[in-house]
Amino acid sequence: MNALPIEILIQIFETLPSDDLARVKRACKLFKEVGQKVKLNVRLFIDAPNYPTWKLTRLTLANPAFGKRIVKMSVHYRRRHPNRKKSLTKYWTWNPEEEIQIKDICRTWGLTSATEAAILGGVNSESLLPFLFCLTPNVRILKVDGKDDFNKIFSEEDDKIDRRAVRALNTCLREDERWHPPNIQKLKEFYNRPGRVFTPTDRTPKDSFLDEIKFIFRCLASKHIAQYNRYGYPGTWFDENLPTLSRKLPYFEKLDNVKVFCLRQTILQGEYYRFGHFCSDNEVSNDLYHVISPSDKYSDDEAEPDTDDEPFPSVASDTSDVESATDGDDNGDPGRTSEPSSKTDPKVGSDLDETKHLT
Amino acid sequence: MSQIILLSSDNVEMKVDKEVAERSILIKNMLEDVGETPDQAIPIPNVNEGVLRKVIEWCEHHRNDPPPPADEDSDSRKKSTDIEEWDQKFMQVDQEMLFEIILAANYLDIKPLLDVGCKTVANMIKGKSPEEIRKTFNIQNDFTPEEEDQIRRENEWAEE
Repeated sequence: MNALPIEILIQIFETLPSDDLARVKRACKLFKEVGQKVKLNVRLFIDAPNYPTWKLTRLTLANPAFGKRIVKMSVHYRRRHPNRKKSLTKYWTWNPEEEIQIKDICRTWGLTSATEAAILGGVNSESLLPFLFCLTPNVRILKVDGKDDFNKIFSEEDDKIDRRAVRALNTCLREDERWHPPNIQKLKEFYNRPGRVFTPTDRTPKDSFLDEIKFIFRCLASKHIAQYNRYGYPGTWFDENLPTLSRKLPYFEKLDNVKVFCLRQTILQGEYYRFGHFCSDNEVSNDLYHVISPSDKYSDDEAEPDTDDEPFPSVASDTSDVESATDGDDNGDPGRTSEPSSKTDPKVGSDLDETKHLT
Repeated sequence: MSQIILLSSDNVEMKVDKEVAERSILIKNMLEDVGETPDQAIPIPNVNEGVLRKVIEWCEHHRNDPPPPADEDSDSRKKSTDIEEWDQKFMQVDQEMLFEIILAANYLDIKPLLDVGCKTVANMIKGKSPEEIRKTFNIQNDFTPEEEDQIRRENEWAEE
């Protein structure tokens, strides 16, 4: 195979899906070199436990040339499910340089503060979709699967699940991962803290606390984690942001094969279209890459999220820790108080609260 | 039906229908430049007899194919799984021959054949681990363990 000229190897590699391409690049130096020249057909696995979309974004941030090579994106949903613990993951974390880049790009392209917060917080990989569009000017084809996913998200009117409950569940999960059996007592204290809004018993009587938890998990799984925009409408980042994309991102019109099932529904319902606020009225920079510090190296140092730096307070320490964290800092992470827009936009605080769900 | 003579790199002459030979854009352009059907054999210096026979066989079978779609980026062209049955059988040759066919198709500018060849190789790569890929194509792993680890991490995003 090494007998084949580079152009032909490129042609061969371009027919490969991204996972096969990634593997063939690991075979030898020549293939790695060739693999770095091909146009990319990337698959984005939303919510997949191994952070693939976050990793892709990190790579694209570090290496703008990589983003320019992407010509096709297909979005695949890997929704979380309570029965699959591995599908429930911790927040993704960025390093400080990346955070600066992300803020710059979000400002430049007018991404909403809510989107920015979700990206910075490592909250929901769907928030990366509009962001990635800013970094991939040569994308021609975008495919979104999972029509069913979107139907599930929108079919239920059940949007009253308190975000604190989500946190409790997250905490429960972590606890469960570390100790068997989980520290239910601590969790219960957290869950029953004064001021909590969520009262599942209002709707469905439950035999026990654990059943309650299971019930919430089921609700969440069935409609994913509803993302509330600032107007209180449930939606997803992607759904919310897509309708206005083509207006501000010139290259977006080049997408010739857009199959966005959610979009159709969105426009029919009207409201999301009206409230789509992906782009601001600010001038959009024509050359995005000026705002990215040029670096062709992909640093591995931060490749894995720091497992010790948990966005959720550990229940293991003690109850007061948990309480104070949820009372005071809605980010759930005292170290992350310097969210960019929180000083300028009074709404952002609530946005943050709303957008912090399971990662 | 006018015929022309092709001369392989190892000096073997082969008579083919002009229409068949013109599946090769290289030959087609050459014949157009000459203006009339030449009496002398056309030398194909980069392709030996065995490979040239294979290529002609393919051209014979596909002599009436419509021209390929102009759209370079068309999605269907890129899909590596959809190789028609006859072509799949045609490509069941040893690796050396497969690569020779690809090189010949590239040289003779027979795009559909080149596509089939590339798709065949791509299908040999699909679903394999790096080690299996090395085995399949008899490639030496020239990465140091550190480099290997590095590139594995760089490509993690592609894996689910």
